[in-house]
Amino acid sequence: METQSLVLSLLYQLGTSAAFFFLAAVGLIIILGMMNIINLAHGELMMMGAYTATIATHAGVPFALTVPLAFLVVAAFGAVLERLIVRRFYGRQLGALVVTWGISLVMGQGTLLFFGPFMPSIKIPGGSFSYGDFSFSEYWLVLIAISVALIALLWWLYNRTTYGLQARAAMQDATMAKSLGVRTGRVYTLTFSLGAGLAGLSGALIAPTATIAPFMGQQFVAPAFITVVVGGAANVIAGAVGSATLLAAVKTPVGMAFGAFYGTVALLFAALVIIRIMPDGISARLQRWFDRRSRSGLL
Amino acid sequence: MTSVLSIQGAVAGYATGNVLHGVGVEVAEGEAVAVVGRNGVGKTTLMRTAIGQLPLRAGSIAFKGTDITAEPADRRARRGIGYVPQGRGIFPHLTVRENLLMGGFINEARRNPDFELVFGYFPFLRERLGQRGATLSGGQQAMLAIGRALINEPALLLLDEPSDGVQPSIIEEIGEILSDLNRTRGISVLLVEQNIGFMQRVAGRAYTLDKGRVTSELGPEEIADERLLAEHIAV
Ligand SMILES: Nc1ncnc2c1ncn2[C@@H]1O[C@H](COP(=O)(O)OP(=O)(O)OP(=O)(O)O)[C@@H](O)[C@H]1O
Ligand SMILES: [Mg+2]
Repeated sequence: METQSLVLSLLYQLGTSAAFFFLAAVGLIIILGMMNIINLAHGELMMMGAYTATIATHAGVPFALTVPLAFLVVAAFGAVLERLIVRRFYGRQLGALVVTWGISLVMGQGTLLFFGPFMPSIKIPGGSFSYGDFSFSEYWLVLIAISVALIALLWWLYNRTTYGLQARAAMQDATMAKSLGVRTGRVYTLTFSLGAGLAGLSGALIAPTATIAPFMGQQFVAPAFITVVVGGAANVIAGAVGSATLLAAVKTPVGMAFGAFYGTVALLFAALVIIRIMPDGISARLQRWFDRRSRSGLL
Repeated sequence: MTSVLSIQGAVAGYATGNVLHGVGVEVAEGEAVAVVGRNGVGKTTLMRTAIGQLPLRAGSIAFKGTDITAEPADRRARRGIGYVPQGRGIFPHLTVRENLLMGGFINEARRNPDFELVFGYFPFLRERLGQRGATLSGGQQAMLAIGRALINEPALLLLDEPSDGVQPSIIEEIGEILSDLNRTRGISVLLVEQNIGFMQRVAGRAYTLDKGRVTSELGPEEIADERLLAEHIAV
C-alpha cells in the first residue's frame, strides 16, 4: 500500500510536470519547428489566452467552454499578426526575433493599461482526492489527459492531412514546395495562427493555477525554450514529447527528494548535458534510429 | 501545332545582375526540346524563370496560350507544369510516399495522384514508400523527382540535368522512360542536359545557350551530330 501510493504519486508528479512542459512549449514549438521563427511573443500569447479564459469565466461562461474560446481568439489574433507584421520578416531570423519581441512588449504594456496590474484568478475546477499519504488534483489529471490528446491530434494533423504535408514540405524547402503548387503564404498563416492558438489554449488551461497578470507569460518562456531546444527540430512533435518527458523525469524525483529548487537545478543541468550529447536534439536521434530500421526493412 | 510553352525575350537574373539577356524558347504540344550549353551560361536560371522562381525583368512567358508572366510559381505548377530542379529538390525528411503526394498539387484540373502510373515506370518506389527521401541514392532520387512531377500527368515537364550524378545504366533507363512519356503519353518536355547521349535519346530538337543568349537552334539531324554538339557543350 505504501510503496504503491508512493509510485502512484511519483507517476502523478511526473505526469503533471511533463504536461506543464508540453503545454508551455507546444505553441512555440509549432512556430519554431515549422517556420523557423523564434516567437518571443509566445509568453504574451499564453497570457492572452489566460485573460480570455479568466474574463469569460468571470462573465459567467463555463470554464470548459472558455478553453476552446481562448484557442479561437488567440488563433485569430495570430493570423492577423502574421498577415500584417510577421510575414515581412521571413528568412530573417534576427528580424523576426526583434519584431516578435516588440509585439510582446506592446501586448504586455497594453494589457497593463487596459486591465490594470492584476485580475482576480479563477479557482481550480474539480477537487482533489487522496490515496495513502498523497493527494491528487483532478484538474491536473485532466491536464495530463488533454496533453496526451493534443499530442495525438497534432500527430494526426501533421502526418495525415494535406495541410500537415504541405507545412512539413515548406519547412524543408519552401521554394520547392511553392514550385510544386503549394500556396506557401497560406500555409504559413495557418501555421502561425495554429501556434498562437495553441499558446492561447495552454494559457487558458494553466490560468486557474496561475496568478493572472500582464507579465504572467514570462514565467512560461524559459521552460518552453528549454523543452524546444532539447527536443530539436527534426520532428517537432516527437521532440517535444520526448523532451517534456525526459525533463520531467529528471526534475520530479530530484524535486521530491530535495525540494523544488534542486529539481529546477537538476532540470537545467540535464538540459545542458542532453544538448552536449545530442546537439540536434532528441528528435534527430530518434530519426537516425528510424532511418536505420527502415533501410534494413524492419519497419 | 499549338504552343505549350512560349518564352520570349526573357531577361532575368539575380541581385548581382542579369544572367539571361533576351532568351526565346518555344515548346509545341507533344514536343521534347533540349537546352544545351556550357557550365554557368544560364540554363538553370532559364528553368527557374520558366517555373516562376525568378521574376522576368523583361519579356514574356505563355503556357498553352495564356500569359503567365506575372504568375507566381505555385500558380504555374497548378496549371500543369511539373518541375524537376537541378539537385532534384527531394524533401529529405518526407517519406517517398509523401514526396510523391507533394506532386499531387501540380495540374490542379486533374487532382488525382496516380501512384500506379509512377510505379509502372519506377517499380522500386513501391517498396520504398515508407523510407525518408534523404536515404535514397542519387539515381533513386532522380527517379523519385521525375515520378513526383509526373504523378498528376502534367502537360509539360521541366527537367534540369536529371542525369547529373546518376550511374550510366540508370541514365539509360531514365532516358527510355522520358522518351516514352513524351511519345506515348504526349507530355511535352523541356530538358536541360549536358549528357549528349541522354539528350539525343529524349529530345527532338535543341537550343544552344551561351552567356545568356540562344546562339543556335538544332534540328533532328544536327542533334545527331556529336561533333557539333561537343563544340557547344564542351568546357
Ligand atoms: N542565386 C544566385 N545568385 C547570384 N548569381 C547566381 C545565382 N545562381 C546562379 N548565379 C550565376 O548565374 C550564372 C548562371 O548560372 P546557372 O546556374 O543558370 O548556370 P547553368 O548553365 O545552369 O550552369 P550549370 O551547368 O553549372 O548547372 C552563373 O554565373 C552563376 O554564378
Ligand atoms: Mg544548372
